[in-house]
Amino acid sequence: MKKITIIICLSLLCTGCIPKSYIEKLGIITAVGYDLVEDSKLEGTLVVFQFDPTSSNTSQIITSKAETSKGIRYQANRLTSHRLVSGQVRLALYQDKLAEKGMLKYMDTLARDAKISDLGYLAVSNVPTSELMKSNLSEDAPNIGIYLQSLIEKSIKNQMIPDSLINIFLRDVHDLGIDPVLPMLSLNDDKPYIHGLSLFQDDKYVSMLDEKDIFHLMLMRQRSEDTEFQLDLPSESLKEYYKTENSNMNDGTLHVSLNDLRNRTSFEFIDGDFTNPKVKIKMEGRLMEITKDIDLKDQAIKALEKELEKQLTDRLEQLVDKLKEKNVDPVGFGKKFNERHRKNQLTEEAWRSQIPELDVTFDIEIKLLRHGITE
Amino acid sequence: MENQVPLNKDAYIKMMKQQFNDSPDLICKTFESKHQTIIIHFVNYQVKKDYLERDLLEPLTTSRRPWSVHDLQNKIPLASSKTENSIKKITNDLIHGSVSVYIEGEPDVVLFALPNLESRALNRAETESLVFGPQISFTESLVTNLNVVRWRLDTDDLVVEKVILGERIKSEARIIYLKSLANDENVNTMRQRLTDLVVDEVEDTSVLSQLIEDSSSSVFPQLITTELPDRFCNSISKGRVGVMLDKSPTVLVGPMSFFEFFESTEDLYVRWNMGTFIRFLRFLAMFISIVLTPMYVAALTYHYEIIPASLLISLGQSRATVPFPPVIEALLLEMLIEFLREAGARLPTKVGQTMGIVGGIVLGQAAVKAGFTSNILIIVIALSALASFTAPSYLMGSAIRIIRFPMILLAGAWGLIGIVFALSFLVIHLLKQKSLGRPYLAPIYPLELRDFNDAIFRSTFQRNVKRPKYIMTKDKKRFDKTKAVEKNDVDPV
Repeated sequence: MKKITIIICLSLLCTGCIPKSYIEKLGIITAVGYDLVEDSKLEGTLVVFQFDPTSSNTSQIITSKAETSKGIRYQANRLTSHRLVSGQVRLALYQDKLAEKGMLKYMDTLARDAKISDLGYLAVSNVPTSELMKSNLSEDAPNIGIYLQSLIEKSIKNQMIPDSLINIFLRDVHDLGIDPVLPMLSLNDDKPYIHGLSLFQDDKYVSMLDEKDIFHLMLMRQRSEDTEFQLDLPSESLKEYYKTENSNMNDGTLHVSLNDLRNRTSFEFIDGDFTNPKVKIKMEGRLMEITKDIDLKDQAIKALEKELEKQLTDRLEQLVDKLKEKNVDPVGFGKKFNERHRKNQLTEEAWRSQIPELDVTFDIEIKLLRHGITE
Repeated sequence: MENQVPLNKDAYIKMMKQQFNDSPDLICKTFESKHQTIIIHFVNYQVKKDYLERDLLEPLTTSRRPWSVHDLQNKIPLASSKTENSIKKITNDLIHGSVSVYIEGEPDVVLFALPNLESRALNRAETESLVFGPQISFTESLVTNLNVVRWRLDTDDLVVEKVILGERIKSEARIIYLKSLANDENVNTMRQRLTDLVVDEVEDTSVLSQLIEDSSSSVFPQLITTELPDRFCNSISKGRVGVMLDKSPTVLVGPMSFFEFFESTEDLYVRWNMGTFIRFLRFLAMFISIVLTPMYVAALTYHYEIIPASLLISLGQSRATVPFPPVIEALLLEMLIEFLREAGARLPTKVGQTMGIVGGIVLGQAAVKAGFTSNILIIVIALSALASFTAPSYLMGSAIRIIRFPMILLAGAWGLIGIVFALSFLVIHLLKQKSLGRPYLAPIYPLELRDFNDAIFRSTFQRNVKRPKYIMTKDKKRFDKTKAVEKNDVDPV
C-alpha cells in the first residue's frame, strides 16, 4: 500500500515535466519555404494554422530572416501570439538559388527533428518562395500550404512526377549511383503550378527538366503504370495509310496520344561496362487519340508502333544527352550497375566522372493493344 | 426441557406466543370437544386460507371421533405433513407457511405445509432483452425458476443440490449442473465456496457473486449473472456450473471467460455470419468506448502531430473557444453523460424520457453554443457512451464505463504514454484474473486457437465440434464432425 502511494505521488509530480501543447495555443506550421537573401542569409516563409475564437481566418503567413531554419522559427515566434511548432510540416519548398548551394544543410532540421514526418514533400521553386506562398489562388484548400501539398500529392499519385517525399530524396542523395529529382514549382498568373522537374547533382540543384521529359525519365527511373503521354511523329510518316487523299486534315505533324497500360524496363550493361548500358523497354499501350485520318488496319498499327518506337528512342536519347551534359544521373545507371555487378563496384568518383561517357542504346518495343472504334 | 412441546394446553399457547414475540399475525384457534382439545396455529398471511378451511378445518370439526396424531397424518387430505416435537422447529415451519395442529396431551405436533408464496408471473426479460429468441425471464421465486430450468433441461443427468446460505436470515440456494459433463473440480469449488460462506444474509445473486468471486476487488465481473433462462440453460448444457438463489430474479454461472461477457444467446439464434459480425461489433465498441475519449484528450494536449491535416481545422476551431484544457472538458462531458444515465435510471419512466431529451439535446447544444465544449468532443463522448451500452452483460458495460475515467486522467497527465500504460495495466490485470480457478482470458491466454470458434467467432454449429477447453468438461467432443455435416437426403439433387 505504501509503495502504491509513493508511486502515485511520484507519477503526479512527473506530469509537471511534460510540456503541454494545446492545439488552440499553437501556431501549427503546415508548409515552409526558404529563400536566399543578401549575403547567405535565409528568409523563411511559414504557412501557419492558428485558431482564434473570434476570427474564422485560420491561416497566416509569417516571414522572417535568420541563418538556420530553426532560427527562422525562433525569429518568427516573436511575430505571433501562438507558439509555432513544426510537427505538422508536410511540405518544404526551396528556392532554386538556395538549392544550388546544396539542400542537405538546409534540410537538416527536417531530417533530424523527430516531430517532423519523413512523409512530407519537398519541392523546388524557381520564383522566390515568399512570392509563391503569398499567392491567393489556392482554390478551395484552407491555405496555400495544403494546396501545394495536395497539388504535389495528386501529381505523384497520378504518376505525373516521381515521388518527392523527404525520405526518398534523402535516400537518393545518400545512395551511390543515383541523383535525386524534385518537382519544380513556379507561378503562372499568380497561381502556383508544377513547372517541371529539378535535377540534382548529389544534393545540389543543377538544372531543370522540361515537363515533357518527365515521362521519359520516369519510364527509366521507376515502375509506372497507367500513365498518359504524347508523341509527335513527322508529317510524312504513315502516309500510305491515310483514308482520304488530299484532305487538309492530314497536314502538319502527326500527334499521337497514348495510354501506357503496362511497361517493363530492364537494364543490361554490355560486357560489364558501365559506359555501355542497354535499356530495354517493353510497353503495352492503348491508342487514345490520333490527329490524322488513318485507316487503322493491322498493318497500319504495325507501322504506327514502329514509328512510335523510333520516336520514343529519339526522345530518350535526347534526354540522356541532356543528363550527360549536366553530369547528373537521375535514372540511376550507377545504382543499377552496382546491383548487377557485385564484384566490380563503382565508386562515387568513378561513377560521376563516367556519366558524360555513357553510351546508352535503347531497345524499345511498343504494342498497341486497343485503338478504339470511331465509326 | 425448554424446547419440548408441553402437554398442557395453556402452557403450549403461552409458549407459542412467546416464540412469536406476541405477534398479532399468529392465529391461534382452539377446538374443544367432549373428548379432547385441539389447537391450531398458523401465520395469517403465510398460508392458503381456502385450502386450510376446506381440507383441514372441515374434517377436524365434522368428525365425531377423537383425533390422534396418527389419524391426523393419515386421514387429512393434505400431501405434506410431518410430526415435530421441538418448539423451535415448529416456529420455523410456521414462519414458512405451515399449519400446526396440537392435540392436548400428545408430545408431537402435526405440521401441514400450506405455504402461500407471493410471486409474480413469468415476464419478458427487461435488462437483457432479446430481439430474436425466447423471451421469458426468471422471477424471484426459486420454485418457478427451477420449474423453468427443469422444463428446458429435460434430462435425468441434471443435478440440483441444495445449499442454505446466510447465518441470520437464511435463503435457499441450488447448485445446478450436468453430472456427465461438468468438471468435478468446478462443481467442488462452487460447492465449497457456497458452504464456506459465513455471512448474515445473502440479498441477491449479484451479491452472492461478489462474495464468492475469485477476485472481489476487480472491476470486472467473473461470474455471469443473467435473468435469461435460455442463457442459463445454454451455459449449463455447455458444462458450466450454475447457482440459483431464492428471492433473486437472476442466476449465476461459472466459470466464465472475459469474452463470454460480450456474448449473447442471440448470436446463436441468428445465422453464423451475422452472429460473428455482431460479436465483433461488440468487441470494437468496447475498444472504442475505452480508448476514444482518452485519445482525443491525448492528441489535443500533447500530440498535435498525429491529428490528420483535414481534421486539424475543424478541431482547432471548435477548441479555440473552450476555456478549459481538454482533460477537464472531457471529464465534464463524461460526467454529464453519467448524470443523464443515472438520472434516467432513477426517475420514473415517464419523466426519464423527457430527461433524456432535455439532457442530451438541449444541454449538448447549449454547451457547444456557449463555447463550453467542442462539438467534436460531443460526438466522441456520445459515441463512446453508446458503445459502452452494447455489452450484453450490464455489469461488464458498467465496468467499461468506469475504466474510462482513469484512462482519461492518465491521457491528460501523460498523453499517449498514459493510454498505453493504462492499457498494459488492464491487460496484465485481466491475465491475472480467474473464474472459479479457470483462466479468465481464455482462449487468448492460455492460447487455444480452436476455442476461438466458440469464444470469439461464432462459427457454424457443424464446425464447432470441440467443447471449450478451459471449462475442462468431462466429455471433450460435442459430436462427430463427419456425421454432423452428413445429409442423407432421400432425393439429393
